[in-house]
Amino acid sequence: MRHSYLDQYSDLNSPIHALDPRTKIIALLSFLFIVIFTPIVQVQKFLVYGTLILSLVIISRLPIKFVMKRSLIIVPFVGIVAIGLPFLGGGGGSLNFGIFSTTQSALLIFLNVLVKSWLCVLAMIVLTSTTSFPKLMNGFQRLKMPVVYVMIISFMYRFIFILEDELERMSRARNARTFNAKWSQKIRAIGGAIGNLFVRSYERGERVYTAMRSRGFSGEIKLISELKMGRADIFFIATFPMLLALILVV
Amino acid sequence: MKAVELSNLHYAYPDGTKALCGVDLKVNEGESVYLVGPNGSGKSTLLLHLNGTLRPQKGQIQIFGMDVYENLQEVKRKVGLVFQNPDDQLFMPTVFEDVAFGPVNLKIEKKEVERRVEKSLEVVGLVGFEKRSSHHLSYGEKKRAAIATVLAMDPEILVFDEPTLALDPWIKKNFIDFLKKVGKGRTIIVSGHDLELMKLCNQTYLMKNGRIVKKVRKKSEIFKNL
Repeated sequence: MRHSYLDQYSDLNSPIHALDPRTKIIALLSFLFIVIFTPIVQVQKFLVYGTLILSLVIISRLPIKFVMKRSLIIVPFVGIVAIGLPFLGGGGGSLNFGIFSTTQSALLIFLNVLVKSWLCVLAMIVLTSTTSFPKLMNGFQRLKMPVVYVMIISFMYRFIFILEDELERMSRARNARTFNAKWSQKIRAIGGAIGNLFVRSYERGERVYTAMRSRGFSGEIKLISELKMGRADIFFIATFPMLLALILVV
Repeated sequence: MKAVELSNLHYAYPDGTKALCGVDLKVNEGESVYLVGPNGSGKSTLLLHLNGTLRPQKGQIQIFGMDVYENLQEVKRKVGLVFQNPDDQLFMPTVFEDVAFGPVNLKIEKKEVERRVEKSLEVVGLVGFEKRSSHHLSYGEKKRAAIATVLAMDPEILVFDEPTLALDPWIKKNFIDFLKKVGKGRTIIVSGHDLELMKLCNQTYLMKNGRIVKKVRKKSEIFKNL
């Protein structure tokens, strides 16, 4: 079965891939903060941010189409904001787009959400696609993220594909036995599947815990990490946030 | 000394299912024992007692003369359990971390951990897989990786729960030889209903309804008494 792995392009070879995950995480965080705190009316700055992130995509040799497709993840979130637009008041005169009318300030709120979340998601895609998942977790751990969180996320990423396979098998088995089912029947079946999946993952959790206990696990998580900062990291970590700060100030 | 000594072991699951109803078993050091029996005969339940995961409601378990429940950590180091489903045993982001998980828990120093991981992966033939994620491995590779995670603990007793389950005959053919190689110099306890596994062990016992019914010498004997 095909899965959409988070890090499917992490084995490419590029300067961005070669950076230490810690460098990339710090750069990402500074990028997020600065983008979020830039007022939306300063259009030129957002153009610069866009260019910056796009050049990172190009340097990292990620397929542009893949990056763009993945960034569509923001659509539902932005969509929810868009639904609320006609009900937002504020000044700035009203705008009409056919049957859809809103105020200027409401439109600004919408643009704020759209542009910022898109830029942030692009930056996150660059991080997660150029770093293999274990390395990413290692980076977070070395940056003093509590080890329990690191483990929870690692477990989730380890088992989510197995759950996905299970779900697919279950829905295949269901489809093999249902013809022309009514909506209400389908909903009931899906509800059952969710419950079933929950029980299965609970049981798997028990088995994994047994396996952990069998290898001497006593509640204290210890991890070995192998990360080294290089010259490129120092250069990147020194210049990238500074560049961002410069854009913000100017 | 007996590596494993079980006497009159009883266990019932919380829902009332009686899984073990008086199991007696003695395994000498260096011996290999195959527990064969139909599904639900209590094989897996029995194996989970060997390293103290389950606690019997009645009866005694001794590993190298030690009471299991008074020496839990020591017993967990000595008894390496390889579970049925490798996906339950491989839970860390990379193969390296999975194999290192046990030794790290034993508070072994880093250099030695690395040495053990390297050695275990060499034994199972997965050198170069250190940085791979286990969900990218094939089923046969996962089985091998799961065995490596246990070997890294350097156990004296190796326990396999249905090791050839879901393996195709081509992989299985080499897998039994492979298990032989892995188990060299160790006490081995294997459960299953794959009759080819009889080749792997010096002793075969038939389990039925939570009891060890008899010693089996020939494949055909398992169908009598059932």
